[in-house]
Amino acid sequence: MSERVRAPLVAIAASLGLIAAYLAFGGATYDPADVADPCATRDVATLQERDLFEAIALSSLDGAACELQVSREELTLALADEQATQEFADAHGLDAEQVEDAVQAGLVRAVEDAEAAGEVDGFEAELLHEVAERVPVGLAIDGLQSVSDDDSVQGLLELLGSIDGVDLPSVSDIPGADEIGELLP
Amino acid sequence: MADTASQRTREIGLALSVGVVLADSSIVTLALPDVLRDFGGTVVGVSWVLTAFNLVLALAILPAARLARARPAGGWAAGLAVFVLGSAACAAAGSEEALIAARVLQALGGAVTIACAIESLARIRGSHEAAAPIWGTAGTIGVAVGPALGGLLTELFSWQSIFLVQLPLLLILPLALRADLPAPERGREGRLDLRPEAGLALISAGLTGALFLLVILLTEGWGLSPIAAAATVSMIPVAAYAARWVEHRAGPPASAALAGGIAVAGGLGAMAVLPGASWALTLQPQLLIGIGLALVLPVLTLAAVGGRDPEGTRAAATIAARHAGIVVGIVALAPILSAQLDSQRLAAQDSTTALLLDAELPPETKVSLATALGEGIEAADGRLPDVRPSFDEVTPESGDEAAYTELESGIVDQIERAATNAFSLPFLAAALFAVLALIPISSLREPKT
Repeated sequence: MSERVRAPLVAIAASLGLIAAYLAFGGATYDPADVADPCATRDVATLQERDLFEAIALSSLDGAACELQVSREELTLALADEQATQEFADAHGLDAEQVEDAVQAGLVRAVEDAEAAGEVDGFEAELLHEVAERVPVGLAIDGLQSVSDDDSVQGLLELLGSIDGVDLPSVSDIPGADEIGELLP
Repeated sequence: MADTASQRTREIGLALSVGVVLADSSIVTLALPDVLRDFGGTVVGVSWVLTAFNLVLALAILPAARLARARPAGGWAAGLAVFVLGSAACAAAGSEEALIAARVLQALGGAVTIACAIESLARIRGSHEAAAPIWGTAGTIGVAVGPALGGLLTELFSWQSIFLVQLPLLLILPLALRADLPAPERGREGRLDLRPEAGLALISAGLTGALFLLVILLTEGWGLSPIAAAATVSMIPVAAYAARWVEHRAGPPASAALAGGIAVAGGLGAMAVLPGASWALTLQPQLLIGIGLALVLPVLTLAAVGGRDPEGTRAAATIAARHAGIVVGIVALAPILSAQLDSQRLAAQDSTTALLLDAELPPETKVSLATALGEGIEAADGRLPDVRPSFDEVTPESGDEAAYTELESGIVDQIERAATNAFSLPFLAAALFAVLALIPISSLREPKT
């Protein structure tokens, strides 16, 4: 090999070899994971492992994100506070009310789906509908994720009570499921 | 004998002044995150602390060469005094604007210092061509060692200490006043060859990628301390020094320069496809870049300065080309990096939110963690956050520790991926500068024997 070309060829080989090795070890795909399509069905097994109310909250976020054609994660961050919601709405050519309407519709739909699947019924279902329709959506999503399956009625009542800061009675004081409407603000 | 020793001391003093001034073109690189924290602002804004110095140095060096021709010794002392004054002003700066203004003063003094040092060395050695290896080596060492030295001082003391340690330079001032210099080189100036100058400018633009981008990736992206980052980027000067043992195997100078340019481009290209967020993965590309620089810079410098240069115009043009290249590199790469950091921060936000929502943890833990993470992101003020302290703030419920740890490592991984990915395109752009440098480098002819 000519002395004139030897060094450049060695440099080319070393450079391409290193780049190829880095690519082989995942250099081209070392980036943040893509988020799931909110319109696609999520893994049922994963959802079933969760508390019912957390699953309803996540399902409602998926539904609303699908309708607004954004990711579930972007919508979640947008619901953090009023300023975040407004910035999200501005960025997508919406107003804050449209965003809240979409999330509320997603929440109502998620409750109906859970009811249709027999995972929730009766008094609990009625309370869930009230939460979905009356509680501000950001609060409802956050709140539902904190409601325990074991003490759901009390948790949902507290969530409803948070609308105007009204302290609702404990579930043991409730005279009957039919009278729940009268207790609501 | 005494004269030889005196001449040697004088040469060391002059070379030291060139090395220190040129080290200033890169020494603040590792201090930029601290400067950004102290004064606020943006990545692009703070990059002017580097850009202003290199731009003024590139613009002032040719006029300074004329002054150097008339008053080399006095000019050197005056230039050094202004440079040291500028260093003191940098250390005392209370705002980003004041720091940039002080850097301009430093560069003006630095340009006069370098031009006069080059002229003085040329008179001592008999020609600019004979003097070029001395100031060329001093300058290369200065630029290469600068970031590591700056990182060390920033971590041990503060970014201001970088400038304070330069004040003792005044001590070497008396060297200039001790003896008369020989008469200047005579003859007509040869024609300026723009090919090696263009090669130097483009390689320097790529070198900016190697130093400026790498130190920001290590400190801001991967959270290394300045001292650890300084140790990591030391690989380039170490490799450049070690390359002296392979230089003689690299063939004729033009071939060695071409090989060097290819190695620099290859190393920067490898930086663009890092397969993980580990400092160790940067060592191999740095090795290529360091060896490449050692092969290409001396050949280009000698090709630029070689021939008749009695007025020192070629030597000054070489400095101007190198620092103009650094300016082009910073001005081109900083906005690309800034835009990439913004987009990758959003991508990291989405992917970490997904991990949090899908984590197999009680909702109460997630809500507490989301609050702590939100505060951490707010405190990061638009930069990629360090999430570990947020995880330390929340205590997982008994039995959830494994899932909690898994979530933490998952989120840290996503942020490191985003940080690393944000630098891919800027490194690729830096590699492109080095590839473009291959055009003028490949047109160099072997010297006639």
